[in-house]
Amino acid sequence: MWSSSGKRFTAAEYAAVLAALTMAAAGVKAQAPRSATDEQVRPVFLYQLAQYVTWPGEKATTAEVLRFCIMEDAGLAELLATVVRGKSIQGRPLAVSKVKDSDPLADCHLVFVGLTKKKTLREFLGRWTYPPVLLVGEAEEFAELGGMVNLKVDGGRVSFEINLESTERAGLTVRSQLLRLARIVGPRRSRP
Amino acid sequence: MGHVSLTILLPLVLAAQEKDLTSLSLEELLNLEVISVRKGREKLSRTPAAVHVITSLDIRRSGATSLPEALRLAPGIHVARMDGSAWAVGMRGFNNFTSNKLLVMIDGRTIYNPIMSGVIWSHQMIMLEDIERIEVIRGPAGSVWGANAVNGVINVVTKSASATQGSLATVSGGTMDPARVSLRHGGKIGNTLTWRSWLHHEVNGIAQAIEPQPQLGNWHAGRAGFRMDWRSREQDEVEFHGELTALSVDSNIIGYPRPMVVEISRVRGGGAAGFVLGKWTHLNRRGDQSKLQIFGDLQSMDLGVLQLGVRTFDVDLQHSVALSRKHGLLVGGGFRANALETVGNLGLRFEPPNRTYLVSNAFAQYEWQIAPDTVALTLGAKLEGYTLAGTRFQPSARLMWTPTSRQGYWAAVSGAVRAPAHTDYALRYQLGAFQGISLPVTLEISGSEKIRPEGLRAVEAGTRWQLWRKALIEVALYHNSYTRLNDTYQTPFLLDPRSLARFFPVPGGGTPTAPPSIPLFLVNGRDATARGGEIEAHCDVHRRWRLAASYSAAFLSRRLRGGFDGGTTVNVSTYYPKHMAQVRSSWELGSHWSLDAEVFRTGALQREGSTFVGGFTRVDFRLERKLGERTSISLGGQNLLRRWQAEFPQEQIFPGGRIGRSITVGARWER
Repeated sequence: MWSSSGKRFTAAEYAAVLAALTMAAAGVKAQAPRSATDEQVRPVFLYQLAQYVTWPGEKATTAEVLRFCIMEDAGLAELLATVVRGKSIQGRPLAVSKVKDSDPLADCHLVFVGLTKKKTLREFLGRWTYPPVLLVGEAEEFAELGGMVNLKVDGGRVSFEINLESTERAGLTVRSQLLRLARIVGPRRSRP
Repeated sequence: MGHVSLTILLPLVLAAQEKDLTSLSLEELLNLEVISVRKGREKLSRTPAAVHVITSLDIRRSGATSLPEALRLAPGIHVARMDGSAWAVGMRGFNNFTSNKLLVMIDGRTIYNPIMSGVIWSHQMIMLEDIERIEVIRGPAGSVWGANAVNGVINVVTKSASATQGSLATVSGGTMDPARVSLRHGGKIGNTLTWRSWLHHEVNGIAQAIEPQPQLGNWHAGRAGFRMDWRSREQDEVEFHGELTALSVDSNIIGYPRPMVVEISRVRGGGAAGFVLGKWTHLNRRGDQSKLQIFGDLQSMDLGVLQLGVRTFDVDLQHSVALSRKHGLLVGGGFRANALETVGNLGLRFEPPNRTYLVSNAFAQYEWQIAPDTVALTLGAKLEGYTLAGTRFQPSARLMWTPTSRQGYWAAVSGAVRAPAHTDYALRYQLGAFQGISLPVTLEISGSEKIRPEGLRAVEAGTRWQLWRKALIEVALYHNSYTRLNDTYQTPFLLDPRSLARFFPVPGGGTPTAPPSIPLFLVNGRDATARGGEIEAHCDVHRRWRLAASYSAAFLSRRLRGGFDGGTTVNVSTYYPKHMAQVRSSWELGSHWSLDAEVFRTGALQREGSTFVGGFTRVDFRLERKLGERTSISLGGQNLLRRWQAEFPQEQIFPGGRIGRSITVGARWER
């Protein structure tokens, strides 16, 4: 790679490298994207997550619409609506609605709890009665405080935590493939 | 109450890609490289300090080709390319080649040079594609980070190996910096271990020499490295990084071989360096976190007139624990050994040439949520002991008030310390000219073992407002009081022309056999006050168009301490513009094109009332075209307004030069 001067690349050598890389690029068949912003990943994560969960009782009826309820995050609701348009999960049609924390939420299959203030979040989870609804959040200690799936975007990647005690309380079944990818957390023990 | 998403402030959603992501399996989704634009923002909105985060997307879209150039994106930071291979990067009133009041770290590893004090940027040409974010903290952070975190901290965080799976190749070339090539590949071993390795080479240009300096040629820097991330299913994460670097760079050095003679000579220089770093993070079920970090670093630098060797060993331990719902504690401690070796010559050397400096520290930071989510108080203190300089205490108190999620106010008082570097204790330098004028005598400049650490007491306050859904304004103000700055040399003689006259040969008398010399010793001779502030605004004008603007002001006044007088002292220079402003525009033109433009205005660089570099405006732009999912090409221009622009004054040993206008083309491919 080095020219005879021993120290400098010539323009021709760089052109050769560039050409080689371009040809390499052309020879590769199209694949899925390798990078995305967290804005793009968040709705897709919710869509994917729902595929690994089985709801009990009435909610298991496959004819029923699978409802995603997004709390306090209008942007996410809009993006998710775009993502799920024309898609289904196990043959079920999908619907997205914007909700508030004071709304009745037991009809939802999945609730994204967009509360960020810990105090509000704690109050919300404190009065939650664990109907068969998957609670997803993105806040520090969301899973430990009684939430179910906590999405984390940090260090250039997505990861998530699951609190199995909470999912069991709600009667949800989570597939083992999902558990393999998750960090399992327990409920936070009481503090002095 | 409501959650206000700050996301909108950050880049543009690429609608075209969303559909494609749904075809990924969950596992593939977790392996994606994710450009985090929200999480950081949310944390930032509750940080009681002046912080700006430069994301990987910002860096890519700015067209910056090196770490110091990327730092131009943050508000309130003065970045000047001095001669092509040297940069001066400073904050809040102080800047020079060795900007010694700024702590810079890459993944927690300090790159502050313990001999020269400051960062030798040409030795830190890391691969920009690996950077996840750069956290720029303006203001002191000594209570956590320790010595030299005086005017600010720059923390470069690289992507985890799991975020860089697959292959990446980028090439670019320009009229200023002729070529850079980066190759990276990441893979996986089993389910828990990911790795990446990279090769990076760059050929950078040099400034236009100011006559009569010899014109220098391009300089080269190459790097090869790896990173591994291991993650247990539950609570442990281990990182292991390593890198080797080599570079060759020539510089023009001003020499003073004899009195009345100034000689600029071209010297060949370069260096080689390597490091290994290991980090272990353990998270227990209660959410308490322990972190252990160990690194070793070897550096050998040839600056042409000086050879420097640094061997560093560092170990740090941190533990954070939630004491209750309202109280949190972070405690830690560390130890560092820097073994320094230098080879100089008669004109420029260190005495003693070799020495090992030890630093040990312990710190604690206590966070009290006085009113949860609304008022938080953070108290911190660090006790740090240094070879020669003794033990120093660096406290801080920070208060954050967030009355609503759209408003935040913070205030802080803190103390910070700059520990003397080897150059402050041991430099021996003969100078035959002063401020560009040859002297009939030689100035014998010496460091001193009596030098004490510099101290800072800072009072800061700031606010953040979200004006409406799409605009955010941040303001930070500071008042810094520095004591015992060691930027003054003192001589037993008076330095005015009449007293110098006694060194001239007396007519009719004998000629001196050797050039007379005047000794100058480094002293903690001055105190200083710096006042100023920064204002920063972001606005999403449209879903595809984002604007960011900032302005900063810094007013520094330095005064001699009691016992020193102007007739027997010489100041070490520092240059900083009183005013700086920048405007950036990021625009998505459909799903395939993006256009970015930046305008920077830098005020005049002055010292003691004289202007050394006049105020100037710099314009950069970058246009990128995506060719499918994996490939993109770009065209960029830097410094468009002037054919040549000096960004920093000539310095005592660095003659400096003018930076050229540049047109750059690049290509990026990943799979």
